[in-house]
Amino acid sequence: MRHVVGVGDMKLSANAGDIVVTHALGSCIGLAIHDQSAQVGGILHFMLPVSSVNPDKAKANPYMFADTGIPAFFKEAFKLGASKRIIKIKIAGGAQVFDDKDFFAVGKRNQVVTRKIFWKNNLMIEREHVGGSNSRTLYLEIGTGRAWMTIQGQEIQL
Amino acid sequence: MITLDDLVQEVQGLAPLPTAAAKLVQILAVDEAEVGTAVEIIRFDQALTASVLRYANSPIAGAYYPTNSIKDATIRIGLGKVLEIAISSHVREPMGNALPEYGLGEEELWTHSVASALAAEVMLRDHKMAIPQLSFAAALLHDIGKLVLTRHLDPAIQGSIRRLTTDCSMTYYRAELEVLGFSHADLGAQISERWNLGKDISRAIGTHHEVETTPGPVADVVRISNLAAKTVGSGLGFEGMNLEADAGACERLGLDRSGFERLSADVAVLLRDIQKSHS
Ligand SMILES: [Fe+2]
Ligand SMILES: [Fe+2]
Repeated sequence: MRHVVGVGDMKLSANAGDIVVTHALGSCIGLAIHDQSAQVGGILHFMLPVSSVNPDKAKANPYMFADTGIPAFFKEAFKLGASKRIIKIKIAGGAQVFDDKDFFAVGKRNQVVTRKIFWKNNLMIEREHVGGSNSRTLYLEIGTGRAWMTIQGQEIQL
Repeated sequence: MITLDDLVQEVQGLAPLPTAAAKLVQILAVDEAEVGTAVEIIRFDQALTASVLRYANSPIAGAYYPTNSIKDATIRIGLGKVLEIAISSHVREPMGNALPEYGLGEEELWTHSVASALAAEVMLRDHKMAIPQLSFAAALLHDIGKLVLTRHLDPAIQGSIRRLTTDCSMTYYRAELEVLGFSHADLGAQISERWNLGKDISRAIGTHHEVETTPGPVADVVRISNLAAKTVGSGLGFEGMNLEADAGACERLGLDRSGFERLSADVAVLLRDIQKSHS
């Protein structure tokens, strides 16, 4: 089955036949995680770096923000049997508009905050395709852990 | 090669706006608070009456108690929203079409337009920013030029635009200007003029990708609305995030960095609620 993850949402699966996909990654970041031995994986599509801009919204929509979404996403993955030692992490997105005053630096800040969170938790990002200004689509195959993305009609393995 | 003049001919052939929308624009241009005259206009249009009441009673409008009075409904949602609703009915269908030349699938331009209008609405209602009522309609229509231009973007033109954006790291808008001599923004301004939407809306649409100079607050709202709508992932297409952002627009309207992010979060949640209620 094919699961489509919307903006500010996530999908985890333990079904080998599943493909998880998320479209329209502009300044948002798509985070794909996969545990090969537990055959568990999924994608989180968050939009903004920090929930402090809107704590009320963050309570109802934790997956909208990196700082609330990433921990909640991992917690759910662990519930499905994924283990922190084995999990592979790949990210795509974080495109940035041109703005010399860095006023609309959502794409860049999403990247920075994501790195910080993983660094603090002693986790490594295995592969990434971030930045630039183009829109991306991210795919993950649960059975194999293969992750890939499309950008401007081009397919790239992650 | 196509010229703006050729396309202006095409724009002249577009159906005019519904009478109610055209009249509402005139009222809003003169006096924003003239509710009585507006109510008469709305009442005359059954479909618009129904849409205004439906929206005024929806949770998105923050309805605490039901109303079936057009006057109450109009006061509750504001004339700017009524105008947006009146124009929506006219553009809903064509804007739902796919624009493959822009890399936009079915409903993508429409969703982007709705998200932009929502951003303007959130600024006024939730962020209590003093923004003009005409901003909603302007935000809704800011990319309408794409609708007419898309058919003329043949593979050669698309290729030239793509080369300029990838090899010369030009923004999509600048590349469009460079290749064609005009852009979807210019064409949108022409459509707005054809529909007699007035200079504030026409200039806002025409300059929505410009930075540094501004024709006024409606234009500033549209620039930020477009960016918020992009941030929530709507209407990306081939353009993606390849656009210049006007930080000055935020400063002029008194929106700071975290204010912009809060705005984007609000728009994303509202947009999802609307999409849920329609499916
Ligand atoms: Fe545009
Ligand atoms: Fe736009």
